[in-house]
Amino acid sequence: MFSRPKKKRTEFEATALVHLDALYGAAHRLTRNPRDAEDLVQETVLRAYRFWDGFQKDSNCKAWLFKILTNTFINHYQKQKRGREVLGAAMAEQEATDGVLFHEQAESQRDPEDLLLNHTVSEDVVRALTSLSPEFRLAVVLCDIEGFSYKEIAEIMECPVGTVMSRLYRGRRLLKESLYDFAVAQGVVKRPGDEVTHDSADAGDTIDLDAYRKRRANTT
Amino acid sequence: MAIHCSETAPLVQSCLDGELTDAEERALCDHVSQCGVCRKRMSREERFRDAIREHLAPPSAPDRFHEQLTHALAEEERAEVRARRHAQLSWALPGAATVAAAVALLVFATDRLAPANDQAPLTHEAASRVIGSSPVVVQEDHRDMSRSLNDYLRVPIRPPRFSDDNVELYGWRPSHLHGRQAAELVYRVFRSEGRQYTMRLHLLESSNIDLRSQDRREIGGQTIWVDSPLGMSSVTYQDRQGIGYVFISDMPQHDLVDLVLGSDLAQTHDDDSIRGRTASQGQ
Ligand SMILES: [Zn+2]
Repeated sequence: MFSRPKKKRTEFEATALVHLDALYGAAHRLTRNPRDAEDLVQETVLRAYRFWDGFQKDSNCKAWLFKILTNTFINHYQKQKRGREVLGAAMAEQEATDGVLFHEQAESQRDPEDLLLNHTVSEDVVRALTSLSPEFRLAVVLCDIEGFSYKEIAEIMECPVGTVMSRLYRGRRLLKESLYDFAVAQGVVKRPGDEVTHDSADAGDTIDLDAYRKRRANTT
Repeated sequence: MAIHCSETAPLVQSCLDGELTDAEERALCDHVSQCGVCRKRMSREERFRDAIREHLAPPSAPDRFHEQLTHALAEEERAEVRARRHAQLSWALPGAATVAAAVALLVFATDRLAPANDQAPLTHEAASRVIGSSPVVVQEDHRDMSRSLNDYLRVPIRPPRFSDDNVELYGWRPSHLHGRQAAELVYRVFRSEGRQYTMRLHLLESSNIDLRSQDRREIGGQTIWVDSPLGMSSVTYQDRQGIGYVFISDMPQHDLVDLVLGSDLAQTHDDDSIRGRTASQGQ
């Protein structure tokens, strides 16, 4: 049933708009600037409002809103991708060839990870996040900023939980690699040695908790 | 039961994200307390995770934006009231004018849809179906899938075939639309640069169900409806046997339309297939 407009708006504002800060925060991290974030959130909220009658009131409203945000973001990203990505790629190339100079005092004997974390500024992390492809960026934003569970992320991104885990795993690893690249370019650390790139027990790109669970189930 | 160093990789991330069962967490802790390599690895991951969360903590929405949204919503509400009034007027016109006005309304004035009946358009319901849905049944053999679909829906249904090779039928699950039993087929669509979309197709016996949504497209003698519920793309189609096809996807709208038109959906009725008409119309 369609509810009366007035009642609908009151109900919508009370139930959905409480998540505005969360939506805005995620949008800010996905788009990297306040203007695009506002556009993305406004479009998300208006879409949600139009479809409010179709929303099952006892289900997870925050996840529902983030689903709309995610779809809207991906659709926009497709449209804008061409122009922006070309620009982005050109800039990334420029950055990579600029000033790859090692400072003599680079504290090579210390744990490079400590050095990296001590010298990283938020701006670099945000920049590294934006360099990730939208799937990885979304997984990291939904987990690390919004604190959604794997299951919720799987529903929002419409993929299996295993895919969420591998997107998170790879997303975080790519994030770390970008941060290393920035730090190397700034002369803070040297190009990471074996101890970092070949993380002892990492087996390839997948992180298969399911396989672990199946093995366990079979042996007990 | 003790775990091995080679098994900790998948456990560490899930542990830090709070996704392990108590038993798994205990097993990992036991191992980590005895193994320096894994302990170091885990604390490194933890520090990195904490740093990322701290650096990425986003700003909250400015007050001005709260006001802006409240205004936008009020505007939206006014538009809704206007559209509804308009719809009631149009449907109330007598005779042939009613049909003409109704068609005009559907074709031109549907940016904000004001449905004639009292239910949200089917596409909106289908699009919001994802959260909390039952798991997808994966069947390797497509004949088995057709059989179980027919058993379930009790109408002869065959999943459409797509001329696009990059569409893969992943599985299906039981669903409901407008209180009617439906089957939801889940496809993966692969595109260049490793991009992957999900396409869901709701199949249901749809006689007496209003399949209209936002934009009407006439293609040959066939009508399909195109919409963008919840930021996704949708295409709706009803075949001669009254089977309704509701496609929902996160891929761009034109891509989804092309995909549906490239399927064998209506080709079973030979001369008036959607595809055949489109081809001849395009010339
Ligand atoms: Zn170990």
